[in-house]
Amino acid sequence: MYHHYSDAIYGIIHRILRRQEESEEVLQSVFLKIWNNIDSYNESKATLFTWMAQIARNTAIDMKRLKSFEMTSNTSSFDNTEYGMASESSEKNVDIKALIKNMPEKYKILLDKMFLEGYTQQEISDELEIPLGTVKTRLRDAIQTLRETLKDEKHLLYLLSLLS
Amino acid sequence: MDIKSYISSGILELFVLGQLSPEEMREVEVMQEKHIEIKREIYEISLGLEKYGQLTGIKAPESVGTKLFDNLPKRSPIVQSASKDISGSNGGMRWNLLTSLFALIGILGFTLYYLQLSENKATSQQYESQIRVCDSITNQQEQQFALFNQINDPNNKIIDMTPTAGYAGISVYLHHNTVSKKNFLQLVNLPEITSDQAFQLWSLKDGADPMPLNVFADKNTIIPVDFIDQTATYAITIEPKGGSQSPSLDKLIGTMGVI
Repeated sequence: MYHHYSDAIYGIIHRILRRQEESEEVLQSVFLKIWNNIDSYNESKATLFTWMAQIARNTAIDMKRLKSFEMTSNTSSFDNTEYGMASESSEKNVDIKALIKNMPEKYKILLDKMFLEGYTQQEISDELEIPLGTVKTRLRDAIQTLRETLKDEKHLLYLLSLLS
Repeated sequence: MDIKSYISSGILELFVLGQLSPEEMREVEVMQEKHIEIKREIYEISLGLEKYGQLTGIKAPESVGTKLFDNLPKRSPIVQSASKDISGSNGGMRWNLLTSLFALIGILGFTLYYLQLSENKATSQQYESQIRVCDSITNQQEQQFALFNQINDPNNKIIDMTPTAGYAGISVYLHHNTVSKKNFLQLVNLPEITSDQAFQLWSLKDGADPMPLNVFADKNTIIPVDFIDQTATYAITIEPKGGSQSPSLDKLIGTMGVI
């Protein structure tokens, strides 16, 4: 489980904390929490990953508050982040740059802020200066676009599985 | 309640992100139990975000994993309490006796520790193996969802096979899609065949010889099969295992006209 999910979880933590030392500390703490609380995981409420991602976001945000880190609100940092560094397996080896590039910037910012960095709707509304209702609809549009982009990859995998 | 409007309201995305109030969370939980479409939508949203999380992941330093696995096995509390008792109640004992006792406790402690360690390793391996099983089930589910989506394509035409005499009661449906140019066979009830036989699908066109297509031995399942342009009728026969180049007409199970 650690090997399968650690990179994605570390990605979330690092985007919130932006400091390697604290990010590593939180990564370890998150997996210990997962290990200790696996009995409380309810698969009818969330997938394993979204449950783990929630723990990661909350733990990292707690740590950030504790350490009073400076908020790095520069959205242009998106392009400088080492996206997909962890992707090694063939399943993950889709054209990540194309995926990122093809998505409108307003969607990427929203997914990053809300899913990876744990921003609330209100925080997004304040920071991007858009109405609360727009945040909700834009989030749906962003995830729909993401799903459409990933659909082709899923169909390809399905086809390959039939041929294998 | 209009399910489509509910799904497109954006509430499910916020549910997956854990950004709803406790009341709203409960409401969505109830809704997903009542409506399979909502459950499926939540699953698809989660899957999309999981993929995004993986694609934007950052390589976790190896040292964290090593440290984590080292920290997972806990020392046995029995050993710790035993150590405390001995150190607290033997102040007056002679040095050599004390040394022997500490050595004995040390050996006992290490033995228990390593026993606990191997037990934890075994549990960890068992756990990892269960995770692999879960991952495999998830993959199967993804494939089933992909198949489900294709079967539910509104452009699909469902054609009931007309069985030939001698095969009454046999039931097969052809899901035929001229837009995506895809065919699926839903095998509901097929006759018994021997281990050296198989079913074979054929494409029949006016003025042309039957074209041999897929060979299969599956039953009670849905399988993707070839789509051949300008086919007038698809037919299923029983053939020797591996299939034939021309159909055994005496073993024609039934036909499905698509024009």
